[in-house]
Amino acid sequence: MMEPKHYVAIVDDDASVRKALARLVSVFSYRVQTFASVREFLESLKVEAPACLIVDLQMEETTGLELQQYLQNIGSRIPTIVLPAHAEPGMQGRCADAGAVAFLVKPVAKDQLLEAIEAATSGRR
Amino acid sequence: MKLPLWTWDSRSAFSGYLRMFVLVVSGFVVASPSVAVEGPRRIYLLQGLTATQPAADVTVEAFKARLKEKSAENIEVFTDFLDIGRFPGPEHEKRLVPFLGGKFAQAKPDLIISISRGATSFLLRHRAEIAPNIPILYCCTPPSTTDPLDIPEDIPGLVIKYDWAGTLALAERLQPNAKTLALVSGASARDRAWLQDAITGLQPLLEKYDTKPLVGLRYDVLLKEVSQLPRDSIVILMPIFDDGLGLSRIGTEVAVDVAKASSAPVYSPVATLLGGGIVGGNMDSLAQHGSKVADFALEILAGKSPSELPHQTTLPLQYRVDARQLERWGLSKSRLPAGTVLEFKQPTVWEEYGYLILASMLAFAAQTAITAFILLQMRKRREAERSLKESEDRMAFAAASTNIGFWRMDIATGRLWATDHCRSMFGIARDAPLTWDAFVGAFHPEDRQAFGEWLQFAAPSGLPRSEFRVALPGREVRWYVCRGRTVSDEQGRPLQVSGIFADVTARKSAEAEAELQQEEIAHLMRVAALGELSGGIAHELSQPLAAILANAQAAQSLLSHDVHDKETITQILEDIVDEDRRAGQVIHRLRRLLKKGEHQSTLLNVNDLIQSTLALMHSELVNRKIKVDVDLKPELPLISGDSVQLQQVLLNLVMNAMEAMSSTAMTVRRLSISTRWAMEGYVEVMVSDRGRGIAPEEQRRLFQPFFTTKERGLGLGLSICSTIITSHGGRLSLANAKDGGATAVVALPAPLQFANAS
Repeated sequence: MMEPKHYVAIVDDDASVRKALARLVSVFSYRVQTFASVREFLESLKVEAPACLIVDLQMEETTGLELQQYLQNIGSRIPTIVLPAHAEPGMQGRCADAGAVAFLVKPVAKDQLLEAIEAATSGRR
Repeated sequence: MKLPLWTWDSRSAFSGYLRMFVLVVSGFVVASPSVAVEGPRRIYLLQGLTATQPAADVTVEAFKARLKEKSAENIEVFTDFLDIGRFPGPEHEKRLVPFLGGKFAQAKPDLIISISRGATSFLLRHRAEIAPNIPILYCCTPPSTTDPLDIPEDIPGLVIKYDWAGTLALAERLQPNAKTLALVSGASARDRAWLQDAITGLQPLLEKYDTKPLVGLRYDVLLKEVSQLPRDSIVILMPIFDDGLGLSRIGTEVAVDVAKASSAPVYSPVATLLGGGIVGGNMDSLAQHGSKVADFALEILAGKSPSELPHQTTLPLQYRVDARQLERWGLSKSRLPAGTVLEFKQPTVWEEYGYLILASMLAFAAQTAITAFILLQMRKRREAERSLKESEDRMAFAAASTNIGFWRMDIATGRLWATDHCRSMFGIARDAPLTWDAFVGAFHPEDRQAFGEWLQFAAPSGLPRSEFRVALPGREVRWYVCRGRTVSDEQGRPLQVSGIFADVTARKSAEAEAELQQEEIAHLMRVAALGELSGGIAHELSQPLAAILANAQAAQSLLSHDVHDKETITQILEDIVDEDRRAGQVIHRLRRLLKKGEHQSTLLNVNDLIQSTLALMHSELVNRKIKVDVDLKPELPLISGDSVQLQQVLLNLVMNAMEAMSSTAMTVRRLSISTRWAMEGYVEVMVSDRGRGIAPEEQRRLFQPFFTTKERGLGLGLSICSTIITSHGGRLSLANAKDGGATAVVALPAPLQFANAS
């Protein structure tokens, strides 16, 4: 993994999940930034867009699905991995419609997550 | 000339004549007002109690005796029993004022003495109207610190002390192995002042015990709770003014009921309660109050100014114990502290029957002279026996048809008789000898001892109602209710104990089933509620699990590299431990709610319950875009209750609020939950939503079972909540809020004023 480091953004309103995911992803040589809310993340887009976005589904204020729909509407093509804490029926389909490249229910194993990130970032390259 | 001491009360037949005499004399006084001018000196006693209360006479009699002993002067004593306990409130006072005022105007008192708090308080309030410029004394009145009465400086008198620690010390002497200490008190602000006083007194000793506050409960709940205490508990009773439903109660009557229902000995330092069923306490002697206040009275009549006499005088306390209660509980007299006054002693056979024994000896000597008389008596007795036999046959027939068994025991010989049906209820054959062992042996092994104890109380006092299980070989266990009474001869000597056994198995099992169903439904409702929340709860659990997995796999990967950063690994492991604990707490909360079982009372902080409930529902609320305003008053007093049940109520109310807002615009979905320490000793929890509120036609039916406004609702939530809160002595109400939506208010009695910082 000596390629240039891709930037992965993680949005989750749960601080410990944020921290743990950031640790895991950065062990594999990705550059990681975390955000506690959708608003914070959108703010950061002014500076840099990530190669891959990992987003929780249920959050206070704005949800992961709403964020995807917003990104889709403004024509952004950031590959997005949705990481819900539990899956209600039909939710996966709605996320796919909104352009999610993966839908992984927590707790998610390392290999699945890395595969998804790799697929997302390589597609973009 | 010496006139008899006048009285308005006594219970003996003799005093009936006396009363007539008094009426005649007062009639005479009406006709000749001139008597009032140059008559004897007059003292009016105002006793706040009811004339029939055991303690009411004691002070009055001691007062009169002391007066007689110390003064040869012609003093008339009038006693009025104001009955304030039974008729509280201004109406009764309004009647008393002209009544007493009229009496005082007709025969002007030289001195008025109030006995008991009620009378003192009445006299202080109305002194100006009914007795201006007449000296006043008081006794048997609590000091200002316990139960504030503003007694002016110029009124001397005797105050009662309440020695809680001394009373508990007495209980400890009698029950050195007791582990549970129950504190019984009422619900009003005045009750709480008493409780506070007691707790202050008991504080250093409380640590030793598993303390059970039975405070501010509904009356029937209180009686049920005391009946379920461990046998070796100590019960400390305060005078109860208001019960958990806000109904006013008479302390002495409560003491009788509590002592009767209690499964453990009851103690109290309140002297007026002695004789009504409590074992005793370290307390004032009401008689001493009577004689001491008589000394004061004589000094005032001799011309001393009231202001020269001491104020708020206290008398030495005594351990006072009811001998009958020692016997009831099997407590040993030898354990009593030295100098304990033993009241209500049962006289020995010689003391009670001495004259009869002498008389029988004389009768024996004169036997020959009365042979004829005896023969006559025998014939009469045979006739009586025959008619008794007939009536017994009739009764036995009636009893068997209603499934009731009769029995009778002759006290002198111990011989037993029972109806055939009664025998068959206990599996005793018609021709088999009838013994107590045969009866007792039929009882369920766990109930045998209790039945034996129940019988022990038979001889002197008559038997209370009780229920026991009977297990006959080869038959299912049945419940029998037992009742008995003592039959005495004309001199009041007990001759026989007789009673009934009735089979109440059907009622018992219906009761048990209803209780079980109630528990079962409540449990199912909790399961259903959590089922509805399952998505949210899964979220609460998945988050820590996700963090744990990501952390662990990050650590694994780090360790597989050649260079280890030990510090990072340590941090990761710490985080894993924290997250595991977090997941554990979610599971703990769930288990607490899903727990099945009987009502268990503990001391609880309502704020903690709310926090725990909101933590479980956090994700669900987030999903539904509901903002939560939490305003919990810190340092709330603790309440006594079942945490599972109360949390179920909170869960239900929050879920109702959530559902009420499902069609409310997202921006205004707001759930407010707050607590406060309300007047009258209640902790209140308010849960408000911004839904459509309650329609007027719904209001009446809200708490009825199976009433629902939800499409898929069962309509049991609120009715169960209401049942739970009522069984905690509280109230649940639901009303429309001022600015739209509905507010549910849960009011729970919080007896203790000390707060918990957590």
